[in-house]
Amino acid sequence: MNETPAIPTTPPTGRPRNRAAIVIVACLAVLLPLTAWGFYLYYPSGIGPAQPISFSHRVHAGDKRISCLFCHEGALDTPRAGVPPLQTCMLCHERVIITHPEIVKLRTHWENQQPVEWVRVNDVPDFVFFNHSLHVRKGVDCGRCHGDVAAMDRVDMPWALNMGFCVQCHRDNNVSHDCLICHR
Amino acid sequence: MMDMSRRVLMKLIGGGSAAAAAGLMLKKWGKLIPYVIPPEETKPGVWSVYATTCRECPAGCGMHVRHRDGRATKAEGNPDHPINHGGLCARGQSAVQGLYDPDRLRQPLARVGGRTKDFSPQSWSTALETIGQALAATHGRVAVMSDLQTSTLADVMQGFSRALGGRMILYEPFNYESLRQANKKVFLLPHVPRHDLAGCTMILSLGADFLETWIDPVRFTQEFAQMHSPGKDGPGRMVYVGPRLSMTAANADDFIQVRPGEEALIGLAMADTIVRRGWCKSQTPAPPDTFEATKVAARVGVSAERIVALAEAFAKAPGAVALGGPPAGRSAQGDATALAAALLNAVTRESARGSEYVYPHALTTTATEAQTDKFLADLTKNDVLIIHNANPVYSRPGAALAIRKAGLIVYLGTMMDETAALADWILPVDSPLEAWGDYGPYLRDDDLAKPTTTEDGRGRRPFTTDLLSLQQPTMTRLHDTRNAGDVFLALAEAAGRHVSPPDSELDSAEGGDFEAWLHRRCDSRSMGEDFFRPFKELWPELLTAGWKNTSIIELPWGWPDPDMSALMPPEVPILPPPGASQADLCIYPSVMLFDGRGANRSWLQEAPDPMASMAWGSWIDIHPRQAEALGVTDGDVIELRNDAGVTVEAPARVTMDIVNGAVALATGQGHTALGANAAGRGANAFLLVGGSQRVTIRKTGRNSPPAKAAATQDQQEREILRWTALPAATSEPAAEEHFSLPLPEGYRKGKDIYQPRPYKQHRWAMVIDLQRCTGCGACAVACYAENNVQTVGEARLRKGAEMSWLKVVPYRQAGEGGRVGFLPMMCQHCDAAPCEPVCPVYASVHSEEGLNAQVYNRCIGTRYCANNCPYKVRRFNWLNHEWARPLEMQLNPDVSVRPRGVMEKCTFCIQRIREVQWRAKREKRKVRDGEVAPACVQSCPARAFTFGDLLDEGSMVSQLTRHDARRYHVLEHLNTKPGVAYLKRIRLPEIT
Repeated sequence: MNETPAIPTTPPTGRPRNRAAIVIVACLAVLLPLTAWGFYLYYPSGIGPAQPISFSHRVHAGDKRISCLFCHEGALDTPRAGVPPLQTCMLCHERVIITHPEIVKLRTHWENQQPVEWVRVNDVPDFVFFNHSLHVRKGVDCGRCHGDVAAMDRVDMPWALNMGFCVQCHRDNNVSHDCLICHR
Repeated sequence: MMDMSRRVLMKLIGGGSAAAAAGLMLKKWGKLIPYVIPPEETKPGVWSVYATTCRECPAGCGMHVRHRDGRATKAEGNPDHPINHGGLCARGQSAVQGLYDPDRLRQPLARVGGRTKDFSPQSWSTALETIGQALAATHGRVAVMSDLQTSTLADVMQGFSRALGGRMILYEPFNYESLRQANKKVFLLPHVPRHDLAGCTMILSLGADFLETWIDPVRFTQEFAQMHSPGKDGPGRMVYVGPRLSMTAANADDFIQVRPGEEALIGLAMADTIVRRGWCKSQTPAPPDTFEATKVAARVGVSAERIVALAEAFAKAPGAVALGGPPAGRSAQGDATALAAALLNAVTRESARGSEYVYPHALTTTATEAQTDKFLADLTKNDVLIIHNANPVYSRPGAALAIRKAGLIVYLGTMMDETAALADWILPVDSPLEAWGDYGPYLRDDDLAKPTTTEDGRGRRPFTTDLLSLQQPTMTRLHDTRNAGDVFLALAEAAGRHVSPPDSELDSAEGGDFEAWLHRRCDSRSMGEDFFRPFKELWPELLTAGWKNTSIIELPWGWPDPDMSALMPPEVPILPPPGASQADLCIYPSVMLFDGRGANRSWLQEAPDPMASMAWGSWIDIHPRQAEALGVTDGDVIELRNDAGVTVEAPARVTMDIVNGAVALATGQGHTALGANAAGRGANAFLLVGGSQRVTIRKTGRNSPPAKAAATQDQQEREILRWTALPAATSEPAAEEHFSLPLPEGYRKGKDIYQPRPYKQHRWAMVIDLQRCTGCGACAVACYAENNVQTVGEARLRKGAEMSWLKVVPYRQAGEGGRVGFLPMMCQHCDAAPCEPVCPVYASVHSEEGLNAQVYNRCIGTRYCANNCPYKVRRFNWLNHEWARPLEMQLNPDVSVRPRGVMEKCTFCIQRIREVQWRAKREKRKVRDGEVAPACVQSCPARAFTFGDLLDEGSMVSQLTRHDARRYHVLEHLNTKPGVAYLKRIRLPEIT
């Protein structure tokens, strides 16, 4: 067996040689949680998938206080809330902020009569048959399932819309949770 | 793996968890593609309904096509339509499968460089240009052959053939020529008449299968069910005389089985008796005594007393009608049968309210045998033959040879059928569900007084219709197809000709596309008050209703008393009884496949024949005595050879349904083209049409029985289908009768194991009136369409892996002279359901509204429930089903598609219940009685089904279940307390 080398001692000055690194790490250790916290404040339920046009629900539903039903008009009368047709966007953006690069994209779609292929965010499995109109008419707020959309730029599902979520609410409100209510 | 270090293991675990966690986050995002500008009537996720007209047969029923998110998914009867009043037969419902048929023609095709070459895809512009040039070059030699069309498309084709100086016929394989000839003799009008059965108390059918395919089957079924059910006047009577126990015959109160052709003798003997005994007011000289009852009785083996009794019942009925006349071909026997029916209607015309000869059926305009023969014989190489939608190569033996003589054959249609395969050019046209058009099944007399099928194509008026039934597109086109009318107009334009409406005094404006023609025509048919209203107002009304009546005058019509001595045929040639190896041939249109045009649709192939319970094939009915003599057993393939040496082979079905000495074969199968489901399947009965009646039978030595959908038609003494004599039918149920309601009040201590189920809001239940059910099978096909039920195909059906949720079983009454009743059997939604307690995973559970729910995503496929179900209505998915593209577009988005390993069964169409409940909730009201109509209930032409809430004492279903004396539960003794109650079939005493 070879002799083990002596353990190097710290320099007599008492200052670590990699001080810069330590400072950076320390700053990061403070800044990262701060950023994360800030991020969480601004995006409480995370960021959804990127959309072909970076439409901001925060601007429309939050800042401008446009009703959900203005665009998702099916929610009141039909099972599906519906994604608004391009026509609905153009009600305003025919005249409003027409030079914004994202709205230019929108207008190009309109001029070419090309539908926008949005990325789907909220979804339930195919064997679940949910009806928006009944819930909305009973006074269930959109946010009860969809979260605070007015605080989301890119919409995300705030929580999984799974069976437990549905049944819990039905139970809490003394609504039937017969299998055939949702499944068929 | 042995030398994996701890470090590597940790890496793998860590990496794996990270990947799993990441995988959870990597959700498969779908796409949402909204409209740019949404169409007004389409909302995502909401049903819209288009009123249109069924074109699956010449009956022309009104349809409501349900449309969702850009796709037509289901065809239903239009409840307000005067032809079908809401019912729709299996064939009509299969129209959506025709639309999405994977074997549909998708673009123009041509054989470039001669008839030996294969088809190659072409553009529409090339097609129109090439054919247009040929048309211009061969001016005067265009020949148009189409299936039955009336109204605008008939106008266009008429105008087209006139502009090009050509000729045109409307070809249908079933043209009812015997009937037309007979009516010409007796009523001086060569019409296919309009019969109204609802006002009758007695119907005599001389071999006419009017509940299956004969002229107007859906309307007849509805009217027959009405006259045949115990109303105020008690049930009417139907007498069927014929060689074959068809589905119609099975519904008769008296079925008199005779040898082929003898039905004519009995009909004539009845007419003779009525005149001879003075049971009619008609002043007619006594006929010669050829058909005197005793003389006929000696020939046919039916007693003279019975013939006289039948004649008396017929003559003295407050309303009676005789139906008869074979749909296809002409024969002395067929002519005599039709004549007998016409004479019976004529001599009892005061009571024979059931016939209307002034407004005849559109079938009257189809070409006669002679006209078709001449049309085909006149074809030469100078001709441009245009065939639209007709398939003469399949349905008319010898037509192929004549058609090949034409210089250029252009086929307009939707499928690559036998005729299309022969063509030089194939121009794909829209499916009837994609096209504008109109159809009028009933015509006005003034137009028919003139010849309607043009021999020379000049100076004839078009066919105008009394009833205007509109056809509108129910979705956008699937393929590169065009409207047939537009193709004709474009071809004329390409040939440099102008097509003008034949009725030009009514139409000031001319030209435009087919839709413009249609608008003008609908405008010109505005009568009465509508005449003064602008078309813009009328059009939306017509689009919503789907039809309007355009007649304003009731034409009085009388006919002279029939001169019996002149009208009676001198003799009806009946062949002597055949030897053991010979038989008389009966060819009949198949209930499901009709003339074979829908043979590529899996629903129609899989829907079992009402009498034979067989599917996916052909079979020859043969009497047991003859089979024994030939050494033939069930499933042995036998060959029929007629005098001309034409042979047809099919497996034998040994049955008493056919009279001894005759064999029966259905049309519709035996295609050599048309598509994957149809080609090479079964035998083509049309090959024998027009040949000799007597055929030689030869045993081939092979055995291949067709697939069967029901193992037995024997009740095994279980009284599944019950009969009752008439008197009990109108009173309250007997007190001692054992009948447990599927409600808490049906609970009996000591008898029931489980506690009563409390129902708060609804207890859905159904009542099926077996007296009304005719066995047509429309409900079963409706169920396939509504509930995404897979069709399993021949091989799996043979193994018993059928998936049909609803089955109409023909049960035979043992020892009752072979009475047959039809019992629609589906999940009975029992209150004490045997399937529920045996499920280990609670996949089979009872719902709050009384339904027996099957939760697919819980089911693990133990099949305990199916084993424990006494009604055998549960179906197991042995395999995942692949819908051949684009058939998957037909799937109902409101119903889960079940994967392999899952049990399924009737849900009482829960999606429809929910739809109505949701609507009621939105409108803040209760669900009305009769508002919920499951698919089977909606489609039934006979209105045999009643659906509703058993908790609501006033509901129809509640009234029938609680108070109708005919009610019973199938297998009541098991105490399952089914939610489906049946009403017993009524057995009238036979006329003897």
